[in-house]
Amino acid sequence: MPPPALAIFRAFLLLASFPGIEKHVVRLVKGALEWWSGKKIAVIGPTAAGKDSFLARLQNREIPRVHSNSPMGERVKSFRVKLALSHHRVIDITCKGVINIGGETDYRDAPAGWLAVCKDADVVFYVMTIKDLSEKRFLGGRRIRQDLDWLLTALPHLKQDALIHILINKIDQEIESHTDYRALAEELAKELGALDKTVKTVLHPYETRYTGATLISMKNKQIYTRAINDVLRSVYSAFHGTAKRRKAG
Amino acid sequence: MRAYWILPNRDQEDEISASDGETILPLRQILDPRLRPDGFSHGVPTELLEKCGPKAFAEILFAQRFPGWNGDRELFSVSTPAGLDSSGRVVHLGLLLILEPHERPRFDLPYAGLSEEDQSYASALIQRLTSAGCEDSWAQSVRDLRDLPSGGRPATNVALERSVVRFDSLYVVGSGGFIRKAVKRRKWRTSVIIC
Repeated sequence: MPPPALAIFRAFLLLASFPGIEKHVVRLVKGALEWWSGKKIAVIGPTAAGKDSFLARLQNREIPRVHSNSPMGERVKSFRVKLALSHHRVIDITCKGVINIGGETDYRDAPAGWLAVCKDADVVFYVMTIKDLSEKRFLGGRRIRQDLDWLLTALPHLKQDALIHILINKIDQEIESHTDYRALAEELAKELGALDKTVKTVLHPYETRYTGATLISMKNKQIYTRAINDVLRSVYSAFHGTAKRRKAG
Repeated sequence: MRAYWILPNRDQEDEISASDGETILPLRQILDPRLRPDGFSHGVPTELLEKCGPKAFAEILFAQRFPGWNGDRELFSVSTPAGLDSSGRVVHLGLLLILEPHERPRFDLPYAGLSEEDQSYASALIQRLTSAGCEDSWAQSVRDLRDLPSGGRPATNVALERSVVRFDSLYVVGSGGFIRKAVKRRKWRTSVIIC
């Protein structure tokens, strides 16, 4: 398992074992706080992957009471993401122009579909599930792979520096259904490695826009909080690394 | 006129399915996603569900009309909530009509080829749309949309606030699922580009 993913997974296990633990010590460098401020995000992914729930969590809302298979692109009112960090600091991101859209391929391929949702975004979150990962739906011809192929065709039409981050939702279900965490961690390590390799291969020559994949749970607030902090850090680190490489080049 | 059911995605499949009443096939074979007009909805928008609340779900009918689609044809669709999917999310049943020039929508599509669960929603929808009474304000709003003179702008039976596209709308939705005629129809914002 790549080191960050392993660290998160260990944290999940800790959280699962001690449900009372709610504070997380996360350090974000000042640069990350500034970089995220005012960024636009887009959320795409297959149906029932957790896009609605992710938007709800970002808005600090519970999973919507009226939960619907989204039948059309709908504007989400501008909202602020506030996350408590270490040293009494708070990250405060304003999300504007977010559109909530369905996950069926019909929405992906429509002109007013995913491309319209992503075109102004600085960071595109692609939400998939742990089941998609374990069933290897990122391999040739399968749904996640088709979406990656779509991303490759879409990238030239997105903002020049738009970044892609993958969220692998419903990790809580895996934790609940396993007792041998070491075996689970090893299994996930292999799967995450294979996903990572596939994404980089498919997105070539845009592979530097891919900032990694994070295991997350929209349902479990503790896991969500931990994971989203890691996401903010990973995306910024990837951006920072790319920017540094560009300068050096 | 060609008419199809847009079927509820109860099993969270990757594609939306449709039916001519007998055969089930992917919706994309009938209506290429690339040709779907901006703002086309495959069901009842979430904002209407939220406004009306779960008690009024069964009452909701959402209709759209896209004149001048794909040349001089017209798309007309009506959707209603149709139960829940395997995660407990609301799913939708739609009636899609592809109209040739000067054709009027007719709500008479067979539904014998649908699943038992879908048949009950389809039967109820057809019955509401073809009943003569005015006490069903949602059904009346759909008939009013159908009866608008052809050639106008894209329109919906009830106004939406969160749609990415602006529509002319005949009715507005109040709390609890009550709808009333809009005082003034919402219109597209006209923008001028000066070069």
